[in-house]
Amino acid sequence: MSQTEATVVPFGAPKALTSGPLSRAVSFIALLARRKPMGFAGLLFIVLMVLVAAFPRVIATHDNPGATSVAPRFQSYCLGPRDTFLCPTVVERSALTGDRTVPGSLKQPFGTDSVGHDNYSRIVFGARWALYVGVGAVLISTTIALVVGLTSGYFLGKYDAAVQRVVDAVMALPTLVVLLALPAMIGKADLDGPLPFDEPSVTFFKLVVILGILGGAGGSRVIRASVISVRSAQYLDAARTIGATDGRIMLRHVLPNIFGALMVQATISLGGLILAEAALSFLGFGVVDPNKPTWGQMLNRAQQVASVHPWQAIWPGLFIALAVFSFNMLGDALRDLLDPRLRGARGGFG
Amino acid sequence: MPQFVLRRLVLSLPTLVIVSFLIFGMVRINPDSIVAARLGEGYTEDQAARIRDQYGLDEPVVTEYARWVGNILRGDWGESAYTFEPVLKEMGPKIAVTLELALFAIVFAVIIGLPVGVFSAMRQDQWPDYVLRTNAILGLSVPGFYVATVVLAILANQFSWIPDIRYHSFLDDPLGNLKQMWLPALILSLGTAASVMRYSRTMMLEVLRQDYIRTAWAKGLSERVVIFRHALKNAMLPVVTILGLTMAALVGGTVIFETLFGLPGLGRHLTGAVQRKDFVVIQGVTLFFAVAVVVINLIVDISYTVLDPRSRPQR
Repeated sequence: MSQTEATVVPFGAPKALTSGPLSRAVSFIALLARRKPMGFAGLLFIVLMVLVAAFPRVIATHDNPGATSVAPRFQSYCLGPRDTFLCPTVVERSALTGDRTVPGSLKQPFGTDSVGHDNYSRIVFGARWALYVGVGAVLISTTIALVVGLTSGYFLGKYDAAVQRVVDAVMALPTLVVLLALPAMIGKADLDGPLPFDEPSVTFFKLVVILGILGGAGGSRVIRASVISVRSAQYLDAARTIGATDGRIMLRHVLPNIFGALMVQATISLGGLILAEAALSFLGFGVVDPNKPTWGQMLNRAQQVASVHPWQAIWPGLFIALAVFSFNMLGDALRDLLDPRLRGARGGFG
Repeated sequence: MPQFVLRRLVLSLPTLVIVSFLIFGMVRINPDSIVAARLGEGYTEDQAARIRDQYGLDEPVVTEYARWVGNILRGDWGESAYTFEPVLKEMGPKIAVTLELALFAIVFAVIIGLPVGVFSAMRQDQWPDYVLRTNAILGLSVPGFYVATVVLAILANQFSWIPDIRYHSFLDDPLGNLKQMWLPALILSLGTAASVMRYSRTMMLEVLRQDYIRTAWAKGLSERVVIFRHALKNAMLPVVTILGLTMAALVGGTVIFETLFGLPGLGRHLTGAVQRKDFVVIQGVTLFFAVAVVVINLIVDISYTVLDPRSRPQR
């Protein structure tokens, strides 16, 4: 068995490398599965999460987890046309005063929360918000990290010294503290959809931007370090000799060589960003709009009724942990496969 | 040596200045939101002008920043719009609570992480190592607030125990204080403990490969002496850095844990101020946290140099 593998791999690998990008991706994933099973498991969970986020209505048992429509709409009695006094539809506005929690069953595997939202459906829809936050913020943070890290590591000198002091300062700001403080100060009417609660809230977009900017500072350090490590390579000297401009060298010669580091940094910080949003929403300051059920927000609600229904807290927290764990594992695996020099670097937000 | 300390001190000054500017800038991003937050809907231009004057929103940024920094340095951090108390005076007793929580968490993290990491390194690639390492990765991935929520839910539901709402200060009631603090500190420490464990394992593995360890074995010393007298001492130093690195995350953690466990620390003070839109307090607490992180990193850097002669810059 091992002998056949040994003969197949050396012949298979170069063949795969010469063909198109798709088969190269496939062979990379195969390598991931073989060498880093935990990272591959992380990748599987992330793919699942993306699928769930892309088609929530197919997977969820209850449509649109908004404040007024996700509750299992049922007719307690029906003597005439629906939604009239003869056949009233019970929605949770009437239930806000009472506890509408339903424990898990075959029909509703995760049960419902205290206002009657189906937990399973909300977690399905929550995957989309988690990815919106994570991917949105990571796009911003990676762009910042790339621009700052690339120029800072390439030019060094006074420019680098000045930029690094700013990076120092941004990194000294505790993420969660700034996330709490900043939204309260910017924007006038922070109403994010219909808000039944008098809470300071932040529009989703602002939250993503702030997370991205804060994450970018830490990421730029990692990018800068890897730029410095390729900076003195001979091919850069060669490019300089033939008169390539700094911009061209950075984009055509440095960037491709730090691409692995960039991917690793993006993957690991994605988990951290999802976690940061969850922490903020858990405190009740992030996404408070019940039409946008993030996992952190669900955990916040679960915590309020924890003494009566302790199992409520299990599901949203489990999925936050699984998502963060998956991104961390995949990032670790990518780091080992793509760029061994980076071992030991850390993603943002602990 | 003193030269390095001086250099490091000088380097952290611009960082502090930029931090102060960022925090000052937070309020100035949208002055209208401050007026709106203080007065609510439908205010007269007169009232708005008074608020702008009170928060110094009318004057040029540079003048106002200089005055603000001057006041901060003199110990005048402004006055809460809610209680009308000086911000710094209000923060005083709360700093102690947060500091105690963070210190306990670090102590727990070291008590848990260090021995586990050392043991894991001693049994490298055997089953205890795998079990402990997997647990460490779990500790890094599972958010502390989730663990705390589940633990509190189980305690409340099964044992009818909820955190004490009254705060017992350490000076008045040391035992009550410890009783109140150990659980949040323990759960808060788990993430840091996992980092410490992973780091001390790596460091230990590195040290165990050194020549002087082989010499120690060759001399016929017992495992206990080799590990504790020769290896541990040298492996422990870099662990100090990881504590510094996790400090910012730990500070964020105290905010959540103070809220969950009802501890009257700075974090809960901050969430309260955010709810009341008490900008001067928000600004003050954020500034304090940020300066604390800068200072802690400074102390870690310097103590590291003092402890480890190899890391001193050779010139």
